[in-house]
Order: sequence, then C-alpha cells, then structure tokens
Amino acid sequence: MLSGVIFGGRIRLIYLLFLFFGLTQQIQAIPKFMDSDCSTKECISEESELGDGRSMAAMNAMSVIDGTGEGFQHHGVVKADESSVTCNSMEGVLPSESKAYGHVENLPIDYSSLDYMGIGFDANLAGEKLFQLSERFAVFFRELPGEFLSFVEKISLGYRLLFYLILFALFFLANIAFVIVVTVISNRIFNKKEHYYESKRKEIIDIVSPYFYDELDKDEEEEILEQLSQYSSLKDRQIILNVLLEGKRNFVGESSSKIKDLYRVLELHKLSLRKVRFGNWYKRSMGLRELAFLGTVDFKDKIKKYINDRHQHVRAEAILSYMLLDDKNPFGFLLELKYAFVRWDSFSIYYTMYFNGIEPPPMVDMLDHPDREVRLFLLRMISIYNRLDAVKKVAKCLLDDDPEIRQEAIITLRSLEYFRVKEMMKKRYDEECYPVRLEILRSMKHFIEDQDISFLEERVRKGSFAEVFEAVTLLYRFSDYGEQRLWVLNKELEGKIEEFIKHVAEPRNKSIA
Amino acid sequence: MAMTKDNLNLNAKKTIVIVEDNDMLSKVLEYRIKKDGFQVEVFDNGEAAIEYLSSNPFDLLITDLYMPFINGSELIQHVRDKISADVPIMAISSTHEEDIIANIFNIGANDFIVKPFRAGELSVRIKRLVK
Repeated sequence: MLSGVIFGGRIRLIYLLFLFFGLTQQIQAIPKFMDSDCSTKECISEESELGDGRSMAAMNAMSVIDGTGEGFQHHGVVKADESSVTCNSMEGVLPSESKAYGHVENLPIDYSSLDYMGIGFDANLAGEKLFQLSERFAVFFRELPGEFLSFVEKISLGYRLLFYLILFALFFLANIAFVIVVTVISNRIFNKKEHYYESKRKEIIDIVSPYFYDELDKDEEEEILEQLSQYSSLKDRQIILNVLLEGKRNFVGESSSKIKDLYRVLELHKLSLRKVRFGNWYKRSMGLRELAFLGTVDFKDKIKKYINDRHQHVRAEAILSYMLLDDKNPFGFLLELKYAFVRWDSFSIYYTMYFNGIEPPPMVDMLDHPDREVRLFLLRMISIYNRLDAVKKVAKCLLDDDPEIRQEAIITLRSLEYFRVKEMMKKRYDEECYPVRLEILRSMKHFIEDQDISFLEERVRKGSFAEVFEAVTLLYRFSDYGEQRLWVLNKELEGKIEEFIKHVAEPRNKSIA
Repeated sequence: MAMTKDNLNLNAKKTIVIVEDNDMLSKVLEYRIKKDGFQVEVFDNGEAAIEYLSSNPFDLLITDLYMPFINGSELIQHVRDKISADVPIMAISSTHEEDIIANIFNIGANDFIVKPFRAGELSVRIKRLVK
C-alpha cells in the first residue's frame, strides 16, 4: 500500500513535471512564434516596401490601423532594415512557399493601382481593400490559436525533449529505488542486530541475576562463571558488560561488589581498556565509564592521561572516572589538568559527588591553582560543603586579582557566615568593581551593625541604582533608626529615594532581602 | 472491591506484583523474591499491571515510578482508588526529589526505596510489608 502511495505520488510528480515542461515550452514558444512571424503591422509595412500593387493596399491598411493616416511613413522608416531583409526573402518565396505570410499573400492585389502611387488617392478602392483586409484579419485571428497550438505541440513533443524527460524520469525512479533498497537493507541489518542483542541480553540476564545475591554456594557461582565465559565474541562480551553496568546502576553494597568481581574475573576490563586506547571519542568515553563503574582503583593511573585528552567529552568522562575511582582524593585530577577547566564540568563533578556520596577532600591547598575556573569551582564546593577549614584561605581570595574570584569569595564567606572580613570589605569598597560592590552590600545584611549606617548612607548618596536599592533595603530592614535615617536622607536628596523606600516598605516585597 | 488474599482467605503463597520496565532489574527482583518464597508476577508497564490487579488477588505491589503508558504514581493512585485501599505498595525510583517522594506517600504508597539499593535491604522491606 505504501509503495502504491509512493509510486502513485512519483507518477503524479512525473506527470506534473511533464506538464510543467510542456507549459514552459509553450510560454517560451510565444515570443518565438511572434518572432518567427511578423506582427500584422510589420507584415503590412513590409508589403509597402514591395513596390508593387500590394504596397498601396498595405499603405491604406496601415493608415487605418494607426488611426492617423500616417502609419505608412512611420513604419516604413522605423522598420526599414528589418522589412527590407524580410521582404527580400519574401520575394523569393511568395506566394506559395511562405506559410507564415499566407494571410497576407492571399490578398487580391490589383496591379493597376500602381497608377495611384504618388498621384492620387482612390477612396473606393481603399475602402474595398480595407474591407478585404479586415476580413483577412478576422480569418487570421480565427486561425491563430490553432496555428499556435500546433506550433507548441511540435516543440513540446519534439523527440529530443521527450527523450530528456524520459531519461530524467528514469533517473529519478532509479534514485528512489536505490534509496528504498538501501533503507530496507539497512533496516533489516539493524533489526537483526537488535534482535541478536536483545536475545543475548535476556540470556545473560537470566544467567547473571542469581549472581547478584550473596547466597550462592561456590559451585553455583562457578557454574555461572563458566556459562558466561562461553560468550567469547567481542559483541557478546560487550553485552555482558552492559548488563553489569546496568546492575551497577541499580544495586549497591554486596551486589555491587559481586558485579565488580565478575568484571574482573571475566577480564572484561581488557575490553574497556581496548576501547579507551583505540576507540573514537565516544568509545573512549564509554570505556572510561566502564572502568570507573566496574573497575578498581588500580585503573586510576590508566585513566589519568585521558584527563588531558584532546576531546572535551573524553576529558570530562576521565575526570568523573578518576573521581569515582579515587574516593580518598577525588580532586586529585585538578593537579593534572593541562587544559582549561570548563565550568560545565564543575556541575558534572558536583552531581557525580552528590549521587555517589563522594565527600570532597580538603581544598585549602588547591585554592592557589593557576586556573581561575578551578579556583571558582573550589570556592563553590567550599560553600556547598560548608568547609569551614578553608575560611582563612577564602578570605585571602578577597585580594585576588580576578574580580570574579573576589566576588565568589564574598559569596562563599557569606554562606560560611564568616563576618570578620567586614571591615576589610568596607575599606576596599570604593576600589571594587560594580558586581563585587553589590556582593559586599548583599553580604552586609548578615552582619550589619550601628556603625555601618554611615557607610550605607554614603552608598545611598553616591551609589548606582542597584547600590542605592541594596543600601535602602539594608537600612530599612536593619532597624527603626535605619528607617528614620532613610526619610532624613530622602529630604536631603530632595525625595530622590522615596520610591525606593516605598518599594522596600511594600509588604509584598518583604521576601526581597 | 479489594481482592487481596486476606479477604478471600486463601492459604497459598503470597503474591507479589512487580511493575518495572527495566527487564534486568525486574528479573533480579523476581529471582530474589521467588527465592524468599513468594509467588511473583512481573509486568513491564502500568497498563498491563492494572489489568492483572483488577481481576487477581495480590499481597504486595512493587512499582517503578517512571514507566511507559501509565507511570508509577498513576498506578498507585488507581490501585488505591479502585482496587484496594489496604494492600501494601512499595515504590522504586532513582529520584531524590523530596516533592516526588512526599507525593508518592501522599497518594498511598507504604514504602519507597531509592535506586541504587541493597538487594538484602529490599528483601527485608518486602518481608516487613507482606507481614
């Protein structure tokens, strides 16, 4: 049915193409047709050049057509070159051979009218000629569609064009057939592979599932190992690996240890290492993941060099694998980094730690890391894991050259509630860049005291919009005295901060600190 | 309405229904639960499970939360509303989100276990629920 629709569609398409080409040819044929034949006026003007009796009749006709009575002269001059050529050719073929001029040739020409050339004008004769001409024109226009269509038919159904169209259609059909054949074959191959994979996977799951429990006796375990070792092809071993990985994701504890044992006993790590060494970036990443989930800490050194792999995904995977394998110093990889640490990696690291229950190591010493992204990452980790042992080192980061580090250090210190740096931050306030100044103000809400009011008032007087907003919020929320000072300041500043105070005082904005 | 074996007073092996789309996990669970002496019915989606649960008695439902067609929450809701208000239900998921976990208990689950879990722990929990 589908093929019927496809082929039906194709046939309709081909038919449409034929139609399209036919129409194109017809459209192209119109100017050709008009070029191949003279326009009525030209024909008549040509006749006027003949110098025989026809010229008079033509002259008369032209006068009538133009409606000016001067058509003859006009066309005689403008079309002189063309008409002379055309008329010469006409002289050779007239009257029987030129089909294109048939409607003009058949005019009854009175040769005696030569006498009138340049002498006079016979109105009766001219009227008669005009009548005859108009009749001829009527015949011409009646015949025109038929001639035109036969002309178009001749062109559009010419053998050469047909040949090309048929060739094109065949090529088109061949292409379609090729695509269909390729799709069907690849689909069959894919289905076959998938079927094989599924059937083997089910077999392996049936064999492996009892192994995940620790209640098997040695004979049962050996029997399972023997059954699994019969799967020797790379494909089958990869299926075993995938099943073990799946098991590792679902189980912890004893089952997890047994899965790792199975990985080692079946020497599946060789397959993983092979992928890591020789695969493309995806296979290398997968190999690293297998080693991390199913391997032991011994593989840490093998993973280490991929921390600086040229492919970013491999690097990221290597970092996570390294962390998973070395739970004593999961951030050891930071000392090995040669590539810039990507901010996205810090998220992956955090989630890997969170979901695998990895505790961060002491990070104090690493805060001197040359890579600013690493320093930022460590500051965030210190904040998340509330590492109070790093407070002093974080406070030193307030003097870092990088403003982003200083900003992150303020945020970290705020989350650690380390307020001893308040005076230092206040002193540095004017030297700081805008984002850092804002962070300082935001931090002050945690440790604002009476002696800070003058500092905040200064911010209200001189600060930018955001600084004024933060300072007003702090003063308003600090105490009644703070609020009173705000209204005094408002008077001093001629009502410039009234809107800020009203905004902060609005009960709906209470949550905005 | 409730078609538990307690209601029907049957003195047979207790039936545990597992609804889990991960065939590897369901196979392992099935193996373990059978070994613990229960009868097990396994389904890989909520729709098929509802069809079974509507017409067959069971003693415990273990369901994954994320499944095709009908997810675990919908299944629990359906069982509580239309099949049995008392039969114990255990949900399994890898989610750590408190809202989701709280919702599962609100709609009537009796227990929740987060993946990855210890097989032995699951076994203990099952026995406790079936008792």
